[in-house]
Amino acid sequence: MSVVISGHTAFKQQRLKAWQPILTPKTVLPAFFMLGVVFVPIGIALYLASNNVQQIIFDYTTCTNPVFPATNMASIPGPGSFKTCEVTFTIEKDMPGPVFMYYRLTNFYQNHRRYVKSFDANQLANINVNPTGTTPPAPTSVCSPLSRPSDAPANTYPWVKSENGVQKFNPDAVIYPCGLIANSYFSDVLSDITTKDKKTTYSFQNDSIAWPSDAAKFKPSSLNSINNGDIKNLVFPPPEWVKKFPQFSGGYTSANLFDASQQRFQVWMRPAGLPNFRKLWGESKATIPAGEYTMRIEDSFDVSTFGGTKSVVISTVSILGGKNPFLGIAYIVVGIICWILGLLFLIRHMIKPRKLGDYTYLSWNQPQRGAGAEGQSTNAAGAGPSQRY
Amino acid sequence: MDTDGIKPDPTPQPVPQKQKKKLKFKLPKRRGFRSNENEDVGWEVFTPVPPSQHTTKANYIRTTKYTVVTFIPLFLYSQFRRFYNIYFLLGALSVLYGSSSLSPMSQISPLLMVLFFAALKDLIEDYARYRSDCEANEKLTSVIRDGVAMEVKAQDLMNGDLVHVKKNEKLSVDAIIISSSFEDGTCFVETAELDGETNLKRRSAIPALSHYQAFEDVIRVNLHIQCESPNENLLSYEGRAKYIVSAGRARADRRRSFFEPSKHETPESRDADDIVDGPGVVPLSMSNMILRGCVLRNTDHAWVTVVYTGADTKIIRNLKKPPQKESRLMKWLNWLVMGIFIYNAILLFVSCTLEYLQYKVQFERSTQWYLPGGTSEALVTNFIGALFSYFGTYTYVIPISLFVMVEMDRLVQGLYMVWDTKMSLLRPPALDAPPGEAPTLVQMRANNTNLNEDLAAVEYIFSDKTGTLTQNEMRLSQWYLNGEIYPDMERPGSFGEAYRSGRLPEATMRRMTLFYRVMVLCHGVIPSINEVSGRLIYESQSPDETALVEAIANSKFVLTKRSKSNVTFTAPDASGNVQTHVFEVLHSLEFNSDRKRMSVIVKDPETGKYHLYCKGADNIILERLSKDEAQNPRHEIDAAIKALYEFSVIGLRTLCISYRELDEELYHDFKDAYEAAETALVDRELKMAAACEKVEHDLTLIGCTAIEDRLQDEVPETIDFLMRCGIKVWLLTGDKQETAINIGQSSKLIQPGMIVVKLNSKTVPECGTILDDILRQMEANAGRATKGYTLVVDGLSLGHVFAGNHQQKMIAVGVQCHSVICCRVTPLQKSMVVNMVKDGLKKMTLAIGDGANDVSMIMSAHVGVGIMGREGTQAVRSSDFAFAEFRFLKRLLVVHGRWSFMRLSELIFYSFYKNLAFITIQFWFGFYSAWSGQLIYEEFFMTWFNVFFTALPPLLIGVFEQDVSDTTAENIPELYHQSRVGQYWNWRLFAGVMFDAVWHSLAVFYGIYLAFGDGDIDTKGRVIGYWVGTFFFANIVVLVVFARLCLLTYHWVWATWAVLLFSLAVTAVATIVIEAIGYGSVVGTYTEAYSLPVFWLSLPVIVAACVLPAFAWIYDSDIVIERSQENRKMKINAGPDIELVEVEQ
Repeated sequence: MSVVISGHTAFKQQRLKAWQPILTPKTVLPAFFMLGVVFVPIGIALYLASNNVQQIIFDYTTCTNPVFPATNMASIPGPGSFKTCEVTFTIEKDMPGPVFMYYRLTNFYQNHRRYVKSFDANQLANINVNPTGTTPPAPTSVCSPLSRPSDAPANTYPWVKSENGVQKFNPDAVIYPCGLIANSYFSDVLSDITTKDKKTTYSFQNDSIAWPSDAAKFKPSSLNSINNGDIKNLVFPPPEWVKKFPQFSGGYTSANLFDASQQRFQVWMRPAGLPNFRKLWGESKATIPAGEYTMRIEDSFDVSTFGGTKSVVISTVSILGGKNPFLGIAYIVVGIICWILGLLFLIRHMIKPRKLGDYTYLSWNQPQRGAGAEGQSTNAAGAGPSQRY
Repeated sequence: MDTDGIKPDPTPQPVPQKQKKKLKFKLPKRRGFRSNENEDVGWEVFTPVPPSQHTTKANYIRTTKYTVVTFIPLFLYSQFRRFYNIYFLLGALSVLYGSSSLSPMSQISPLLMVLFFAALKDLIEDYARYRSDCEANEKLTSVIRDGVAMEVKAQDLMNGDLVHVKKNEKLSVDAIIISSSFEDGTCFVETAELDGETNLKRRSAIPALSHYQAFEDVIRVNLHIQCESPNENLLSYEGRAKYIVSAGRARADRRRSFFEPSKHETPESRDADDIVDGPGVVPLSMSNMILRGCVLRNTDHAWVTVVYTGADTKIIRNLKKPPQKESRLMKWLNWLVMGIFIYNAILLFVSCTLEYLQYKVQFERSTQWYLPGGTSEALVTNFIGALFSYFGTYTYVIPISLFVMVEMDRLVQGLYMVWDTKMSLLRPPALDAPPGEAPTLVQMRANNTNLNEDLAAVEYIFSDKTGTLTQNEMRLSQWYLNGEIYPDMERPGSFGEAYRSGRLPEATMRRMTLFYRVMVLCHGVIPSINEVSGRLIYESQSPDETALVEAIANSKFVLTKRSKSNVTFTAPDASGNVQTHVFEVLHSLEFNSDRKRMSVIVKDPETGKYHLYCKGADNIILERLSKDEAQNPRHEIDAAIKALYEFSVIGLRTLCISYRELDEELYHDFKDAYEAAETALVDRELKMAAACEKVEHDLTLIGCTAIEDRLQDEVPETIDFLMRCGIKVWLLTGDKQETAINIGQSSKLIQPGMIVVKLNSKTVPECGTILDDILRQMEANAGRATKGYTLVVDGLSLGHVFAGNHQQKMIAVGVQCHSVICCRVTPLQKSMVVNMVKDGLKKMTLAIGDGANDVSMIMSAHVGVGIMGREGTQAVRSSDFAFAEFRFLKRLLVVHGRWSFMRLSELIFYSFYKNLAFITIQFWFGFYSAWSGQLIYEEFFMTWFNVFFTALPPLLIGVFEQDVSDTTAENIPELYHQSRVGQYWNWRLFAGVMFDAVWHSLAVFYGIYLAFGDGDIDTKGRVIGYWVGTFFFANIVVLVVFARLCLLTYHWVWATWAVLLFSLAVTAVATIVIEAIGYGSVVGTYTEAYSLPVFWLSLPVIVAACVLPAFAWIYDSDIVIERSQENRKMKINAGPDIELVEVEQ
């Protein structure tokens, strides 16, 4: 006969094989130094990489409406009611291709809670936008608060008839593309850059500036199949566009319906995570040699009301993207802190080495010390953690 | 035929339905016989059951918490009684407001998940109860109803049913025994389910009816029982039965004619002539009763009549759970949760205020044309939207899964204790067990895992002695008689040899005869022949009594048979011829803890005189001795007292044996008083005690007995270790002072060099004076090196302490003593001492004991520990933890307590840390997202961070972490002291958590913020956006909290690696899946993020920057040093693993 005692396993007895790394000076001090040894060179390399990036940046916020006259910038009229800014700038060293042109906005909250979600992915992907071929279905509430022309400020669309001072919209009418993101689409137009002698123009292409995933998502809309007479009263451009894009100031026709497959639009539709951000405008494969250049910017995008700025950035890239010394510095700083900590601990270890496994390091000990004293120490200890620590 | 009787009974009867409570008070006391107006006879039962009272499901019991209908409301109520669940619910509801940044589903799903698991746990537990209820309810039981035998389901038993109980059958009602298969109506029952005692108890039938044993007899019995209303007292029952036995079978329709005298005379009730026995009235007491849960043993069958069913039965009424103890850590945790709520409220307030200010400014300047606004309505809408968004988001600060995890962790810790082979005992089979029986494995029990962590902080231990420190294996050591000591332990049977030697004088022989008669007659031992081994075995409720009977049997005075009133034994005479004697025990005056003595009155078959044999505690007997010099010569008493002292000094338990001859008149006086007391319905016990006092004095001392109870294994080592841990050990024992001091010495409570301080006061004021003296002396001695003090207090002085309000002084003395021994204490005093220390010092107390007398102490102390010994399991059932031997206490405290505390506190701290860090990042993001409440994480990730991505790692701590090994903890008492004073839970740790959380949130947020720059971080010039940002923050924060976990982990087992890798994989896979299924707006963005070198480059530096402070801090904290000790030197003392291997037989 035998008794089988179940469960005498290492797990149940809490005796699983274990690795117990011990933080002794022998292991920790080398670790600190090693970390420093690895981090500092990486930091230096990253810092240099960032430094190698060539970048030209100029702020043209006040170009057409100068508060303080800016050098190298001139305001010229047109197109339409807008003005154009002509900028002259110098490239000190040859910029090896590819060279990228960005516009940079500050203090613009593309990450606002109500802004981020205010777009209709299906509408932009041309999914189910026009099932009947004659009327567009109402966009879902995802575009809130800008889904329908009636959501726009009064008299945005002057071609719509009013009754008793109130515009009457077709109940099926939608905004395309709907939502706050599309509505605030960057409307300035950046030109290519030309050498001062106007001989050479370096063009910045916009055909591969969006992420492939975005390029795959956005499709031209089939709303243009709505016949020409109806489209104007069924599909409306976003309210800001009526003001800023001359081609849409009179509403859509089948011919000029906005095409969502434009990559600059796709870049804009990917909201930035932080209030200061760049958006890619174009890419030049060619190396741009040093010299003086000019470019023109059609200025219709308003940033001054909310205290923002807008700039043009022309830059090469490194492994870190644009110019950003932060990571390099971070590696160097952390590496150096490791060394400092290592040194401090090393010095302390040299002066006053810790005896391993010595109970005197425990905050209470020596039961042999005698009852009176012991009683007191116990009392003090027993008064609770709040007193002890 | 009495037609009247067929009518429905006009008096409402105790039908166990909902109205029963009312009935209890309404019932008129005008039934068959006159009753004392003061007596509670509010419960009436008739056998056979009148048809009007026939019901079904009267005995239906439900121990489940829920029914199908009440489950949802009750469960929700119990869950939402907790503040934090309401809070989470509010958080979930906040998203119903349209423009919140979270979707309703994602916000409510974690709460649903937590509720789901809680519901599942409750349902599983309840289903087990339901199954056992069903089994109990459906069991078929043989009954006689209206003279007809039938089988009914147990749930359909009703009051008055005559039930046929077979051998080894468990009863499902409370019932009165009518007769049994024994001639005299004796039944033996096992009450293990009620009080855990496995020894047999004798119960007896109603004496007048015990001969109605056969079916055709018992069906003729009519009963009318009046008794107390259902109550929870398991030890007493008072009632009376009127019986009538008819010639034919009893029929309910004739009952009224039998029991109502007025009806009795009407012509219709002439058939009452067929009464063959009665009417008669008999008292009923607990000894006539078998309770629900009892098992009939050693008795072929019994007829019983049901008096309480279902919810009225005593055991069901006792099912109330004792008030749940809560650990100190849980109270702290509640404070911590409150603190986090405040943190949360501050974040919410700041966020919303800034949102409002920012928007107010912009509204007035009407500037942010790309956002909705420009009207005052938008200002309000935005504010409310942000408020709800932030409220919903910040609820994540409280780790919703923490409370589930704490429960799970406790469960695992409890299981570890149960599984621990070093705390299990292989108990060899009992002596009378059949050959080949396997030893039983006695595992530890963790009844209340809520207190696991309190075990690591115990400062005062209150211990019982008998059965706790000692083995409770009583063996007779010495007999003392006639100035002679017979060392029965060394020379078994020496007393008998002397008796049979024939050389002793007449007077001595007479006393020896008296002596052995007391031994064989005055006890509650039941002899029985073991069916398997054929040996004579003795069973009794008191191991002392068994020891005495066994020892006297060694001297050939053998108890062989015992019936209700007769005791049969064999005894040799002076010349050695063995004869069988049968004594009728007229009265047995039972032992209880107040009386501390037991007497029997017998009629000497030779002389015809009445003898009272009394044995009891020495102080009780000595004060009841006759002062008559002739009976108790002074020198004999002095010699006996000297012998008693000597016995107690070597730690023996002593009893005095005495007798008295009662003359006829005194005996009858007593008999009348006693029998009157027996039938009393109220204060029966008091009246009986008073009756006993009539005869139990003027005793003549015959001799003394001394019983040895050896210390358990490793008791001195354990106590020594615990004292070195800084724990004060208080021994609370019923022993004499000398015995107690002796035990104190042998168990190392008193160590060489320690000063023993005694507190023996005669009066209350004296007690105060002595305490003052002691305090003064201790103060004077303070500077001198001593090994410490031991305080010895006797029960009387302890009484003075409480009576004179000297508790403060007593505590002042107590805290300066390493150990305290309280002797001669009553069970009540035990709990008073515990409460005195608990309330006076506010220190963690632990009480350990094995007997019913320790229950109050076990329940009073913060932690109650029961020893699964031989004194039943009452202590075990009321305890929080229980194991087989005292020595396991050390391991329970220093290993399991320590680990439980460490694991739980680290689990809690870590859970809070990770959520604080997680959400504080969200707060920083507010500065850069116009305080709009936009999430910094993808919504799905936010929701599942707690319950999915980082759920397992905290459990890893909770299940596997060990800062020091068990061997180390068991060898270094200082470590225990550390855990007690707050090594695992203190402000420094809490500050560390806050620091880590805030620093990590800052480092992660600003690290990524700065690495992002303007978002132009792609190597092909493309810019990333908000959604790639969510990926960065989410992934890096997960890695940071994992890195923190790695630093926290001292003990890496395979599961650590597995869980970490698994959690990382889950996070990565979830990211990919979210993208693949096109969830939200993230389509395509995450794979891009993985391809960004900046992501991979910022990871190491941010993680390193986060954990550097913690790493340096941990390196510099002292526990590490202990751990290195472990690996380098701890080969010492480790000893071989104690293995429970297969036992071959």
